[in-house]
Amino acid sequence: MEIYRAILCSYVFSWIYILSSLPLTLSYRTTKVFNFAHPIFITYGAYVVIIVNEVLGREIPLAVAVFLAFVVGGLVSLISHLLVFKPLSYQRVSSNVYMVTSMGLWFIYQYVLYIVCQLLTRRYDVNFLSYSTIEYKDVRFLQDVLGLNSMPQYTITATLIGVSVGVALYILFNKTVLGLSLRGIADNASLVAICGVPINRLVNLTWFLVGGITALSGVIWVNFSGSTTPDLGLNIVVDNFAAAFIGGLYSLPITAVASIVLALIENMLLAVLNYYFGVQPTVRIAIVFGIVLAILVARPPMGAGGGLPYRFIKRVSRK
Amino acid sequence: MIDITGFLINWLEYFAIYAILAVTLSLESGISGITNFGKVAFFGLGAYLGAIINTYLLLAISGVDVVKAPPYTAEGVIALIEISTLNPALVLGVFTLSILVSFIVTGVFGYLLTYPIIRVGSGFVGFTLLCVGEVLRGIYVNMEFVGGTNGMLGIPQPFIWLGIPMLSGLCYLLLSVTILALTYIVTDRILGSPLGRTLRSIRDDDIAALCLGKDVPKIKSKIFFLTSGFSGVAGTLYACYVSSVNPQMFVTLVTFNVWAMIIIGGSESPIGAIIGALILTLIERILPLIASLNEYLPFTPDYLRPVFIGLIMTIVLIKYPRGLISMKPPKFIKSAVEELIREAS
Repeated sequence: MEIYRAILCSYVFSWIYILSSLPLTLSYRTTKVFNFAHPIFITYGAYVVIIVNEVLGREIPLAVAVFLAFVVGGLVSLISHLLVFKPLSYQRVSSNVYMVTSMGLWFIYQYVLYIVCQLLTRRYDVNFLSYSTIEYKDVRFLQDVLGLNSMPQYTITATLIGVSVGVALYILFNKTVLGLSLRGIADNASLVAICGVPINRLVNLTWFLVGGITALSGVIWVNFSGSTTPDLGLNIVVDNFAAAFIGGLYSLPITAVASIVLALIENMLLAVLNYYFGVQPTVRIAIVFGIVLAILVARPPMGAGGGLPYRFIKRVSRK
Repeated sequence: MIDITGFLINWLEYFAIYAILAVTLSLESGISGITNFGKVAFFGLGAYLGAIINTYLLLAISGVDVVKAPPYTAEGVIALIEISTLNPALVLGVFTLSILVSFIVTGVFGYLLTYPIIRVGSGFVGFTLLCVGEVLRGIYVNMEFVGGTNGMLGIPQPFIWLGIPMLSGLCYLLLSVTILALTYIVTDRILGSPLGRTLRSIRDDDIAALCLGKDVPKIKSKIFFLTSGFSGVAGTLYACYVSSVNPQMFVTLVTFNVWAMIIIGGSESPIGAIIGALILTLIERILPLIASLNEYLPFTPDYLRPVFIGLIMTIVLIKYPRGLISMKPPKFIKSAVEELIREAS
């Protein structure tokens, strides 16, 4: 039973990590901004669904949840870019300044959400600071039609959202001129600009897509977890960054594979440790950190934002 | 009625502790280019080490059975209060030992951490160190001998035997300011030395420094040992001042606050870091006074603090990316520039 539960958790967490770490890699490739506020998009995606669900009387369909989360997550991301990151890029600041600013944004967004949740809790007399699971009525209908009632709803939700986003991203990047331009900006922005591509507009679009896709993790989360809190992003931040980090913040396929492997290792290991030794789930972060450290020591990922010289020296000295 | 003297001592104590963190972060991040988003890890480790030594060791030396009356229980706390008021030499001795041990252990911990992180770029360094802080917090929660989630209480302040709270507070403040001064002097000496120039060159372009024959990883490791050590000392000072530690004290928000200090003051200048610490600790000490607004506001006023600090930090960074107080160029650069101008004219 424990193993079955661990497998289900691994499956859902794989999709959550994929949907949050792929956009992180995408944003770093295109904009070279290491955005510490990235996990807040997950939280905002989850809370948009929660708030609308409460306003509609707990009967929100998945399609509406996905649309709202995508738009709100995308807008939050775009506003962050236009008001903060873009002005910073004009100043030609170092990557450290970007990172610190994104950390500032993270705390602003998080505590604004705390304030909103407290106001809503007073207004609706429901605990928004720790909200219970949301069931999507259209997914329930789909389960009834297909006879999948024995399956937990969150597995179907995760599959629907994950596969749709995966296919959409594949088509965007491989079959459209827009995707080609986005990849071009990631590789050499100046060259793309010379070719007449409107870089600013495409960078804005990238930020919108990044925020929107990440917010979809929140839509899965509220269907899966029994308690959603404004700290949601903070709890996922390490796994999210670790997956992107293993992909070297460059390779989308490696990031996706890393997300699946991370989710599998941490959930299975946690289940085993909990069953045999009574270890608490709080060690989850230590497991992820162990994996990251092992990778750092054994083989730092390619393109790891400046890690090349030391590896280069090592290779030269060996020769 | 507000107790002005008590408020001042309390504010300056917090200022001295946070200024140590800010000065060391300025040396790490502003001057050496090590993006430390895990400052709280070293601060917390120092605090827990200080708490363990100042409680367990004190009880053990005084002949109390720490297995029967561990310091996180009521019996342990009562025994600690009795010992610390009756035995000044022992309390001061154990406190001094805890400061030394904190410096060495957190320093070595920082040094060891540089092995994996110096291989990657600044974003990854920041992320890895942020993880370290969260992992350590997870460890504290699961360690029963440090009180788990509840933490430890009754950590003796080393001057509590003086009997007068104001006097003991003042003595402790003097001690903290002395350690701050020591941190500043060490940082300033490094900045003015050839090592300081090397550090700045590494920050500006580590590949160029590497090509010029500078052992970049080794230099970064040494600096990280020093700054981590001082952060640990700040942690011990904090634990003994507030007389308690628990995992909720060492969240990422602490790191963020220290970053805000060096950004407001100017990340490249230790003086700027001290000024930033002075301003932000004052704001932090004043904000609880507006907690009385609780009945007028429909939400907890505590949530306003991070929003407020985050806004200041973001606005300052957009307008002045180098902080409000940029570092003046060193004298030798000034004179060289003057000489060039003279020659040109």
